[in-house]
Amino acid sequence: MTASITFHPLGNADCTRIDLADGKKLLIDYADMRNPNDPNDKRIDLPEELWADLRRAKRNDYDVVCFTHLDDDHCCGSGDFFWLDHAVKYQGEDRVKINELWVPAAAILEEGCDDSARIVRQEARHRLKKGYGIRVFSRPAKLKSWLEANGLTLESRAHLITDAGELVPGYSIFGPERAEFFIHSPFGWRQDDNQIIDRNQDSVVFQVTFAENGRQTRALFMSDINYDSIDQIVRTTKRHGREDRLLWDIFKVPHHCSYTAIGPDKGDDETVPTEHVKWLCETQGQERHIMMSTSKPMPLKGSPEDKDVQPPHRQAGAYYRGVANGADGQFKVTMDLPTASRPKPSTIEITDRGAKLVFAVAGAASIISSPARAG
Amino acid sequence: MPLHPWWTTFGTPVAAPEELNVAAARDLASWVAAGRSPGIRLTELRRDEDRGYEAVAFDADVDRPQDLAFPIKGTEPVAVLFPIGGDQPRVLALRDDFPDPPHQNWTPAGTPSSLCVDDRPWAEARLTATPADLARRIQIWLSKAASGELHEDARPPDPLFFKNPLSIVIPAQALADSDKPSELVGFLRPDNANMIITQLEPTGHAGGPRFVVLSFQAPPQAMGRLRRAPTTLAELAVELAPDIDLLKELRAAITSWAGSDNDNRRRLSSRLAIVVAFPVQAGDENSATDLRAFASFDTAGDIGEKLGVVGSNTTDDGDKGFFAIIGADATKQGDDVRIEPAEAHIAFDRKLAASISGRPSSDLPRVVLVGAGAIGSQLALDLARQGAFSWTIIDEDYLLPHNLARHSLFPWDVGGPKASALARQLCALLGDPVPAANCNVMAPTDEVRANVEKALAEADVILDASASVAVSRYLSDLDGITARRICTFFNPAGTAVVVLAEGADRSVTMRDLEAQYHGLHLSEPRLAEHLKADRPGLRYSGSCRSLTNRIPATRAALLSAIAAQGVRTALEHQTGTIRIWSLSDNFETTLVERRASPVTRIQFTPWTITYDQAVLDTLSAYRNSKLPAETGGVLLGITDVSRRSIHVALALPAPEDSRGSVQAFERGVAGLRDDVARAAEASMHQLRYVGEWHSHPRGASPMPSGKDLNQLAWLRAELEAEGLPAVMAIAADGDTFAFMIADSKAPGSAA
Repeated sequence: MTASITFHPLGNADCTRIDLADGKKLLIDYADMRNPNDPNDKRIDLPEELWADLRRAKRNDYDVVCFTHLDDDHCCGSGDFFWLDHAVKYQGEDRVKINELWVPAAAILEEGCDDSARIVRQEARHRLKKGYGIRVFSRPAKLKSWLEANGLTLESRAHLITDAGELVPGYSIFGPERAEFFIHSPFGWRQDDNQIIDRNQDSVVFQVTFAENGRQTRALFMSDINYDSIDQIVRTTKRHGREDRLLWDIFKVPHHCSYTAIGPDKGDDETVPTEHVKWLCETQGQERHIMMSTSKPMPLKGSPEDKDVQPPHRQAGAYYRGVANGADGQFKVTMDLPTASRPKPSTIEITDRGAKLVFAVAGAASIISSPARAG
Repeated sequence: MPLHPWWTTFGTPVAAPEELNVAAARDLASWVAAGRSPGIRLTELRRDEDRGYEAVAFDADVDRPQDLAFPIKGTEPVAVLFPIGGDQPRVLALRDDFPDPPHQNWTPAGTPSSLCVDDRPWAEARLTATPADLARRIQIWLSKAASGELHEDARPPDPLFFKNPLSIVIPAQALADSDKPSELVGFLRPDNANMIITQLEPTGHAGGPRFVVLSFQAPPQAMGRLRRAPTTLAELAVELAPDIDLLKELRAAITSWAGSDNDNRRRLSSRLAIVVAFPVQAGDENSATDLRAFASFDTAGDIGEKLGVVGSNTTDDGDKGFFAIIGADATKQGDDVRIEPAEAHIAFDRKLAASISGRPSSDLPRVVLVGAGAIGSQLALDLARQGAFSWTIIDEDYLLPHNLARHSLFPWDVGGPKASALARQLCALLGDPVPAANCNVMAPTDEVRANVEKALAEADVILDASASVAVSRYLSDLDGITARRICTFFNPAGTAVVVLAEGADRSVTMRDLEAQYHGLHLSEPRLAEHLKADRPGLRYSGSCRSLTNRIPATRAALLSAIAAQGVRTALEHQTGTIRIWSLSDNFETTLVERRASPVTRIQFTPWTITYDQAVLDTLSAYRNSKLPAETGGVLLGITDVSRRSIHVALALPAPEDSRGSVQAFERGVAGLRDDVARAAEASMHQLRYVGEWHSHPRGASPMPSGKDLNQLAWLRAELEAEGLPAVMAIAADGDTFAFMIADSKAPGSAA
């Protein structure tokens, strides 16, 4: 089997599943945003969709669940879906187990979270304390005082911590999984300066590289970071001469297509990128790439949605579309696929000819992938 | 007892066995002389250099019953004649007044009877021929003759008297009852100087020496068979009188040919052959014919002169010309016209085909064969060789070189339409006209449309060997045509042949059978590999569609022959059937057969949904296996958007992650995508997902619950993307079922 990346239509929210060549399943964020009481809500029933996939694979766990950050649109409903080790009330046969939890340092260090964010933080802290099933993305020193406050040493937990500029241990393009994860963010020097933790800027940003028959396909998962974080990542990466780690064939558009991930000014019709964003988008994107915005459809000019301060921003979409056109690529929005009236999960297959966006299935193929209930 | 005078003319005596030259003659003579065969006593040894034989004569004692069928004596004088060249010995009864029991070789008048003591070909018989065996066979023959246990069959001319007897092949039509003799054109084959081939019409065939053939029909039971082979025209005329006045007929014919046009010149310059058909009573049927043929050594013109009806002169170009003489000389009786018997064969035709195949010759349904490819051409010829069917052939293809690997046609037809080439072959075998249409049956050209429509309308059977699903469905759907449809095809790997046959009442149509066929091979373990094509096709030209399967001719021929028999078998029964014969690698054959399952058709305008009893039985079985809980699964079927029809072919069982209780059922997904994909692939993508089924618990009706209707709405919304309606089936108590269909345009349901 070959790898694939599946995006779920959740409005402005993220949940992306990566299926690796060896069958490993990684879930990047989990945000069940749908309102079951609203028949017009077109967002997908995420737990049902994920369960159907797990049942097809005859399993009830993920190898990895990564929360790129703990905003609600990245972890909403986690406490209802996952089996969590830290409290019996989150355990039961109808819950999905997490073999390894990936979180940014902020998910350990942050105080005062509510709801889902708090539940994930408690689980992450529990696992880090126990020393299993966890990977924290952070400059190690950043966690030192927290560990010591919990009676642990940094040395005892160092193997569970991955700093920016490193590959996640256990994954290689030469192994059966044929994939590796390079961490760009959170990056240490920035966190040192932070007094107030800005969640988005402490998001996990990574490049995943897939190898299929000698063809390497790279995806950048940009979480919700903004343009100056991107600038810093680009500068740092260039300083280390690792420009290849910012090459991409698939671009998970940051922050639900907010202009703030492109430049300081929204613009009237198209956001102007910063120098480094422009380089990342226009130079590092490969021929016929795919840019995926995990968001609502782009608003029409002058519509109420267009006036909304929340993403997606029409001007940002216009910029990305231009980038896509320049590379003969595609710029897609999860809530538009395959149709805005009936969005469905979209899958990018990683082939030996690169990434290929597969039309979301409707009809029989969709039916037989879903449970059917009868009375 | 007086010996036959002919025997006294036979050569000169030989004094002792060891003086014989032919080893077999010497062996027999020594054996008999030594008294080693009981009841056999050597009487005489002779050699005839001119005839080329050595003879061993002896008296043979015969076991006889009291009441004799033929007056065989207690001791009969017999001579065994050994050809000096070492060929098969002849056995002659030497008694002057030996009777005429059956089972003899044909000898001329004035010669002894020639006993046929060994039916085997000499090449075979000589391997076991011993003096004891030969002596015993002669005694047994005589004993059976006395008891009436010998039976008649056609008498071959005895080579002792007829060195190289001619054979003649005569078309059956020439033997039709008629007052007038039929006239045929004959010629000796250049590659077989003993074989006269005859035709009803002169065709300008490049043959050897020509014959003019007159064929006579004797009245039924008018006379016994000819006891002796006549050697002159006069003798033959005496044998045939009074039922046939041979000389009068010949005089009339030859007189009428005394003209100067080409046909008459041809006739009078050809040798004359005479064929007489004697109806033979066989059981209650007056069906068999004893055919006797005689060839002259003279031309018809010369015979006319000898009969005194024509005179001759020499024409300017040196040929002999003939003119009629008024007032024939009745004293000329043909004593000087030498003839010899010829072995007569009726040309191959439907009747002979049927009788050799052991089939009734009345098996003549009108069959339109659609598709003259490998299977169509081979099965048609197989059936024609059995005298079966009255044929019309429809095929739009032209024979291409790669076809020859499996086709019954030959290279000289390459480039020509398959339909007409095959029709020619069938016509040649059956002697019937076989119409052919070189067109696509679904879109006949203007020139042939009327003929195609007429043939289909008048057909008893439409035999589809086109290997095309589209053609099969088209033929199934033809309105107002009552013919049974039968469809036959190979599986892609060429390891099996399928015969789908509608019943006589067509209550289960070919479309229904197509769905049932897919349901069968997907559920029958013996057919697990049925539609698997493991070998890639072979490209036979540059075009991307030019792929042909790699199936060896041996398999194609065997499977076609099975299909031919399968078609006949199907027609012998009134019910519809599915039969699949599979060949193993070592050519063992396995048959899987099913009766056509009765179908229910429900119209939900504009859609028609069809399901069969086998599907319902499956649903009941799955339901019963899970009671009291509910169960369910998906339905696979064939959809035809152009016809707006859905055939439910197969119900799959519940996936393993399904959850069923007494109240509800949730159909799982584990392995389902693979199962559906496998079914689609295994059916060459004819089968696809069409909907869901589930069971209701004990005591509940099959009517849908609110949850069921929600599911139906969901299915409808999903399948709308494929332009298809959703199907839902519910199985309940007492084998009751509800089938529902939901179309985005016209929702409906029915129980």
